[in-house]
Amino acid sequence: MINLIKYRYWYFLLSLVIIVPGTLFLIGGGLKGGIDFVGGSELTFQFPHHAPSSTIQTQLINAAKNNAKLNEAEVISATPFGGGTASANYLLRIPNIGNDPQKLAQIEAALYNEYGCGNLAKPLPDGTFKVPLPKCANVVLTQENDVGPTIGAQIKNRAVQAVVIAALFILLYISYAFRKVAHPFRYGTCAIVALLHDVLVVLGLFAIFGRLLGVTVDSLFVTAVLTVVGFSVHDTIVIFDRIRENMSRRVGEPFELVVNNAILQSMARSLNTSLTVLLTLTALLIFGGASIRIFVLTLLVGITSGTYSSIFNASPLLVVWENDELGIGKLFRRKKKDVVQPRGRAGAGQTR
Amino acid sequence: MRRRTLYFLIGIVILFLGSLIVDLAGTAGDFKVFGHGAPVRQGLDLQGGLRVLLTAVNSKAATDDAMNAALDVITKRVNAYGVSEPLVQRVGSTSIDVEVPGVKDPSQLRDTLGSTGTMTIYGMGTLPVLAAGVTFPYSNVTKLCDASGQPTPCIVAKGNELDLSQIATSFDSVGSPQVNFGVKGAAVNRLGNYTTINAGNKATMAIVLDGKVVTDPSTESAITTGSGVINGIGSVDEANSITIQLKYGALPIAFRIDASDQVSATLGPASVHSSIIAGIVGMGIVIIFMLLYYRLPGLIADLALLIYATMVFAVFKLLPPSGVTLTLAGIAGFILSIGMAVDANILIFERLKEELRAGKTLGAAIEAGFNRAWTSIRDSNISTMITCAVLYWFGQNFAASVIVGFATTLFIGVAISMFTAIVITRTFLRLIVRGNVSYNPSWFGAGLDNVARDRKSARAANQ
Repeated sequence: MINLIKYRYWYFLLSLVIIVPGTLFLIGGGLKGGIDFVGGSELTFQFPHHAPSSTIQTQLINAAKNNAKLNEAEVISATPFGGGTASANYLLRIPNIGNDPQKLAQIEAALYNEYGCGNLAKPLPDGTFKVPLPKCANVVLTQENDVGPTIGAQIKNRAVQAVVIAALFILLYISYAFRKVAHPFRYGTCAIVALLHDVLVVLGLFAIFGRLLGVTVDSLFVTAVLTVVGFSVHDTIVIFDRIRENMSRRVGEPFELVVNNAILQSMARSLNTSLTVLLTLTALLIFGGASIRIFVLTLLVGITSGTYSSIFNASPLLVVWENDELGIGKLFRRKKKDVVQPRGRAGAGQTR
Repeated sequence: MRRRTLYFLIGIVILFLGSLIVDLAGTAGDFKVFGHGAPVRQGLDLQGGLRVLLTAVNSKAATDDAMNAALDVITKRVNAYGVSEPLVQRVGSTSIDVEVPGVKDPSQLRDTLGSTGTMTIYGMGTLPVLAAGVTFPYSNVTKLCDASGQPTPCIVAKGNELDLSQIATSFDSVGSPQVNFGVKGAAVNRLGNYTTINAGNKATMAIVLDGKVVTDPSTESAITTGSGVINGIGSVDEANSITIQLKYGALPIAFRIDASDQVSATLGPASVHSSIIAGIVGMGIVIIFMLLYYRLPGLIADLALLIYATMVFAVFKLLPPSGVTLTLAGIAGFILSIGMAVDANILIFERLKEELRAGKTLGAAIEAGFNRAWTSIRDSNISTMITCAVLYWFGQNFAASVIVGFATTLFIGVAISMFTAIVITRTFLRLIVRGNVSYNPSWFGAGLDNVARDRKSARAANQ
């Protein structure tokens, strides 16, 4: 019988190694809030008869900054994880223009002039445009998302609240479900710590993506994170359930051994379940639509991490806590009054 | 077999056939089931369209009455566009959410929906003619035109003097689009005076909608009946847009667009197509895996999985009020739940293998497997359902139908997966227990081959 629990500090170290780079990027401001959280507009332009090029990217930025007089503009590929078509497809990120159709017309007019549709974008005598502009075959606006600043802040607050509330409810539920075991609160807390590990892995990964690829996080990302949370706990509970069952059946065994057995017994089930979920997600990643690719990738990473953390973080942590290996418990125990030791016989091996 | 198992089996068959009928209704035949003849309602990212969140500019003026009146006007405007299944609802205390799926030209619609819709007619005299579409430069004019049509610019008819019942799109003798209108009250005389005095000369009359000039024509003839026609409009779409903005009345308060999403319809069908492929591939892989690893129970789990998928889709269609709105994320949630649905089965089968290894008979092993596995299944699925509930609340708060759709599909998937594992899988497993028929444990999973060998040698040794 393999003793997995013996190496628990190695698992903690591995977790740290995985988390640290992402966390550094997080702290360094890498996680980019999308327009859902900071407000703004995202326009997706397709150029069906042109290949992707940095010229087009520059044209987009100039259209936004010079023609529409916007003070911020950023261009990234509309499909950063692949799955798009061969023609140019870009996402232009600018401050919110949802209430000002003229700004969109100004951007489109600048592009129309570059791509042969200048006659469709003639301004009116007072300099404004008649909106909406007619369609141009070379420059197609396939998607526009606008979010005002107030609602952006609301969404961001709600997102954070949602994660906290979910964690809280889960903690309560686990503590209730395990109420008949000694120290039910510990089970809940260890599950939450494993969950935090998974959230950090995902956030860290996206902080790296944000810095390197310009990928932003939006409310769909929050959805993926919450799903990962649900699944991670799902996984952890199955193992804890085994621990609970073993404890009633193997009274007197050291806790470490009980947990180790529980892990080994549920290993097949944990791995198989994760495998089936990961297989379906991989199918989605390869065959599914390009627009949810980031979403599916988040789920893949998160669920893999969730499986790992249930087996190698949550349960070993329980052992560490139960055995009080970090000595934290000593801080909370009341100091025993100093007992005057009676002078006993000298000699080794005296037991009281 | 036991009576109870037989009843369960009959129930399952009925459920499956019923779900199949619901699933195929609207896609195969043209028959309706409980009024849901149409295929599943598709979200914006699947069929394209427009979603706008309108928020009152002045929150103090956004009283309940004002908001409800605005809701009424906007609903009528949306319905006038003739799209199928639009969604208009209040969100929070000062916002209205509008979803119009499948509309081909969302940009025009977006600006129409939230526009205040106030039309004013100004007598312009001989001031320079204004081009259509420009911002009206004399918006702070408040003087009404007197009997001689002076001073210019002056107001011939104010917004609330418009006779809404006469607003309609029509076509003139050469087929150009125009908008009929009418005025009432004192405006009839003012219109009559101004047009009579200026009939045939170079004076113009500007028709201004929400501060933008629609047209600034010279009057050809006197309009004494209070009914006139706006012509010189560029296209039918524009004429319809103007009609819709006016016909249902002006909005009582001003709105701004707080959030909007426009998705072109071209992206949708390709995404649906690829999602269906992903779903089929995903399910296929899972089915093969279960067969290889769990063998006979794996086959049962696969059958249960197919029934599961049919039932879940049926629930999507039947859920009140008009079924689940399927978005790409919702489809992803469905496919994800397929992977997770297998989990309950795996829990049961692993227990089953343990009981068999421990030497129990098949019947006893099945029952023990279920009983032991149930607590794990219940507790772990409840945590997933808690996060679905939180997600639902999160998305509902600002009408993000994508998140709401995902939470709903995942929740339904998880709930039904619990049902199929406990009822369907168990019934099928019980079906194969018939008395003391000898069986080969290796049918129950890879890794039980040595159990089979041991039993065989034990039996041989006993003979």
